[in-house]
Amino acid sequence: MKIASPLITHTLFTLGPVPITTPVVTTWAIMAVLTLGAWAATRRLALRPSRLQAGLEVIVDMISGQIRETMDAPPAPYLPLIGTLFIFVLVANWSSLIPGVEPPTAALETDAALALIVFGATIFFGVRAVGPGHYLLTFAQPSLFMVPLNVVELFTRSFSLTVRLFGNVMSGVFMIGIVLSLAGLLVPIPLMALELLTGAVQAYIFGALAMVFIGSAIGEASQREAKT
Amino acid sequence: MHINWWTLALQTINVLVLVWLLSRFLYTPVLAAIAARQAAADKLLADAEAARVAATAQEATLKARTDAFAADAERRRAEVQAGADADRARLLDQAKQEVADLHKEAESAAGEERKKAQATLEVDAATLAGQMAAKLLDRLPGDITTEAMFRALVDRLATLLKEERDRLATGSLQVITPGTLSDQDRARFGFALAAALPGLTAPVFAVDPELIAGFELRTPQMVLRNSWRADLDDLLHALREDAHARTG
Repeated sequence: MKIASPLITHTLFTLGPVPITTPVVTTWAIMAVLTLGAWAATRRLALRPSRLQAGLEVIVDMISGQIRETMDAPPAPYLPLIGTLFIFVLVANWSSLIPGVEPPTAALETDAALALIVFGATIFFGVRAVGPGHYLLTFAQPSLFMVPLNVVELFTRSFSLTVRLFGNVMSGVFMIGIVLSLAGLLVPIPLMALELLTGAVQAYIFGALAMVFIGSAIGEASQREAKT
Repeated sequence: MHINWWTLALQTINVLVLVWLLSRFLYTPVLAAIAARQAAADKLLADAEAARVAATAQEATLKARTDAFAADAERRRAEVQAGADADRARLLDQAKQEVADLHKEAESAAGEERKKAQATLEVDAATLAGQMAAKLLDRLPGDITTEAMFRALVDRLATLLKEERDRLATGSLQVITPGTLSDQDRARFGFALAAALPGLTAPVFAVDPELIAGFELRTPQMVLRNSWRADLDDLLHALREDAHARTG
């Protein structure tokens, strides 16, 4: 049995010049499921919550609490981004449990896209919090000699986000594929269970690192708000 | 290593779209529900606090009213107590006054009774003395007693002032004796009286057994008692004076 390289994405079809690859289609499916599920679950919200509503509120409240504790800032502006990153990465990682589905996070482009969004969000929220000039000045902290290092760090940590998520998910998928090709149907199940845990941990780590990066960019403004 | 830039771009757009979609269909409604519940809870707490404040105010009002009732009741009780005390004092004074009046009336009645009893006793004593004197007199010859009492009368007339003798002589003199005198005795006593009372006209003799023994001379202006009855009356009077002097 021939195992495909995890660095290659398969093009399913093309829309004009745009090749539509498997991760994109899987992502669309995940988006559809999440959106329809959210729409269906939040159609009839009430003061007396159902179990589903209570579960949703627990998830949203838990993410808000994490944002508040990690970023030391009001969670409302960051909840859509951080929450979506966490939920999408988690669902994408766990989508590998569906036979025949390769998680989009096992594709380098998806992880790079997520890291790129975090990169942009860090700059956006940092500039919005303290202003462009002051934000640029934060690169000179604690001294001017740190500017190159801080600039390099801005890119390397986004790159590390990409590589970390891609490496963990891709390795899991690749290992399960190898074991599955060697040992048959039931042998990979423990590895798949381990992949569940790894996927959840990676989703949490990705979200937590996104919070840390954005939090460090708005840190000065948050401290100023906290003082006031 | 090969990067599919189209895929990278599409995935970036996909995730951003998903951020918007979940923000629209998940976070906003759930946060709104949480906020609504929080608002409802706040409203409930505010209502409960308002109810508690209202209850506290009502409790204070009721307590003030109860205190006012208690104070009014205390005031009324004090008034009733004061009235009762005044009535009791008045009734007590009235009762004391009535007792004093009754006591005084009883003392007065007792004094009257005592006086009546004493008067009765005096009358009884006088009567008894008269009876005793009469019985003693019965043992003596009547002539001797009459003569003795007449001599005592003559001696008494001799001790009178002239004006008193003239008053007896000039009036229509009545000679009272305890028994009927014989004509001879009347004549003899008449002469003797005329000798003792110059200018005396013939006296009139009358009988009064109460005298027991002796004579009494009576004119419209004067009475001269010289009988055992007069002596007994004098004795009883002296005894009564002595008893009054001893009892105070």
